[in-house]
Amino acid sequence: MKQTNMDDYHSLMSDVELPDRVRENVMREVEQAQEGQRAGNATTSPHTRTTKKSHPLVRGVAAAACAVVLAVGLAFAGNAVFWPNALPSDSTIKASLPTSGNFFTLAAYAAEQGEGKLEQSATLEFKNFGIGGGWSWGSYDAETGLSHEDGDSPNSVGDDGTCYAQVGYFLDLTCVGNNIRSVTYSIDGEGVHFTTENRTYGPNDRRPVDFKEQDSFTIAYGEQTADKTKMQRKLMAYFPLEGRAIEIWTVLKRDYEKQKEVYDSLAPDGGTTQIPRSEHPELLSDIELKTLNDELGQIILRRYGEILSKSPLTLTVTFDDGSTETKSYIIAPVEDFEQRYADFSAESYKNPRALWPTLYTITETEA
Amino acid sequence: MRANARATTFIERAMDSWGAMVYRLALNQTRSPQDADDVAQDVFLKLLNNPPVFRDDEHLKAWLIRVTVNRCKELRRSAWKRRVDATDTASPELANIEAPLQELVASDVWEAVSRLPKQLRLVVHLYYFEGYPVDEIARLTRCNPSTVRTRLHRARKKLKLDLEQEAKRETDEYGRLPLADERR
Repeated sequence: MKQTNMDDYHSLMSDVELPDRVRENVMREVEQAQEGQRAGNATTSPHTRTTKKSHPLVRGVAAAACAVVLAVGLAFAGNAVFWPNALPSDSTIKASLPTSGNFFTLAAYAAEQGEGKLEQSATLEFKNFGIGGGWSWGSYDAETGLSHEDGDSPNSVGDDGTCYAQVGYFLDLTCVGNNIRSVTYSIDGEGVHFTTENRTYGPNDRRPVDFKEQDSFTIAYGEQTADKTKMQRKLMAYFPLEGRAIEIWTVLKRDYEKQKEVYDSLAPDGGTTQIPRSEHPELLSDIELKTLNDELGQIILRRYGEILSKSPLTLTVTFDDGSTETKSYIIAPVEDFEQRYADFSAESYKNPRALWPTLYTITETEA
Repeated sequence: MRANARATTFIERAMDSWGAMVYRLALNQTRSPQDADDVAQDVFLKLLNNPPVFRDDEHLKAWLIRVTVNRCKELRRSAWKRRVDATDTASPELANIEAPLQELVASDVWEAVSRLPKQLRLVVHLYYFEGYPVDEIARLTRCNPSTVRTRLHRARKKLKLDLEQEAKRETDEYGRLPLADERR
């Protein structure tokens, strides 16, 4: 088969997008579901329910089970998603800012804090930080943070057996202000950097991927929206796992290997899609698996915030008149991080659709 | 209400990020734009109504791939499946679809890929388009890596033959075209 033929397939397929009619139908269903939910909330008493349901914990775990099976398998894969067009749309942001003179701020900060409140923290809203991205563990290159995995991924760099966590989230870096020509973003910390990936490529795409790790990059003010559409930019940190995290990692890795053996014996030709863990005592139970994943997630995300708290994020703006101004921000875990995370973990048993809580704050500091 | 807004945001952004991937995979498996519409819609509604807890975005992506493939299987099994000739660009349904999609389904390579058995089509798509390595495809499709490699090998062989025959047929037809002198 000629490579050009598959290039044709790739090229033609790349131009195909999700049709608007599908998107509209889905969103219509979402709205109807929410209207139904609102109506139900208003009229239905818990005492009138007649449908028998399993215990919420069991339901939540059952829903998560088949997914967790795969999640562990993918734990070595690099993060790969982006949430485009996540610009803060609140008109209140601009309303609270100066309307004339050279001025700028990070929109994610201004959305909650407004202007002129140096050294005061704002919670870094989930929509601005945390909604896209994720964490993974595996063997990473200590110098670059790139994943050690076999295969065709551009991240393939070998395997030295050291277990690192890698965490990356899409921080909405939108800058707002007056008379701005360009914005330079910088991050200064050990094991922390921005990753930038051309969103038109997948992370495992066989074409050369325009993937960069950067401590700093510059965007023209008027091109922020276009940049968001085209590029995935994450705030990435990588660090070695220690103590309890290593213990959990060891257990999860062993479970994954056992699970793979079960898959291979049950579904040599791909016929089975999931394994009921309750029928395989050699595997962790669904609850054990979720509990360990949650605990590891809490340790890793807390550590991520601690590392960011020592890594100032700096915005340097060049105004139309050629002058420049710099502001620094510090991202850190919220004070009640453990409680929020625990609440989320508990909620996710009952509601598999539970979204991540706001786990970090942002504070403008002296540049 | 806040949870509802978040659910809406979650679905919108999932469609922004992975909508095209789901749709293309559905297209690869069903070979019908109309069925791909239905599958993509069902997949995102399932994401709305009954999603697992996603630890990260790779997890979400893998989930979407598996649900899409399973939904396509269900569609094939269902008795009411519409029978639409996906390559009939003159049909009213296809005439109304987006130009890139029309171009795809009218191409030789699409026709050749469409003639592959569904399991071979799937590995071709995941390997050549999504760029997954063999081991990842094995995990996603619950196969042994050796099975994936075999399917890829068979797919390459069949595609090569198909596309070569297509090229030869075009050449033959071109060779048979009457010359202007002969028409006179």
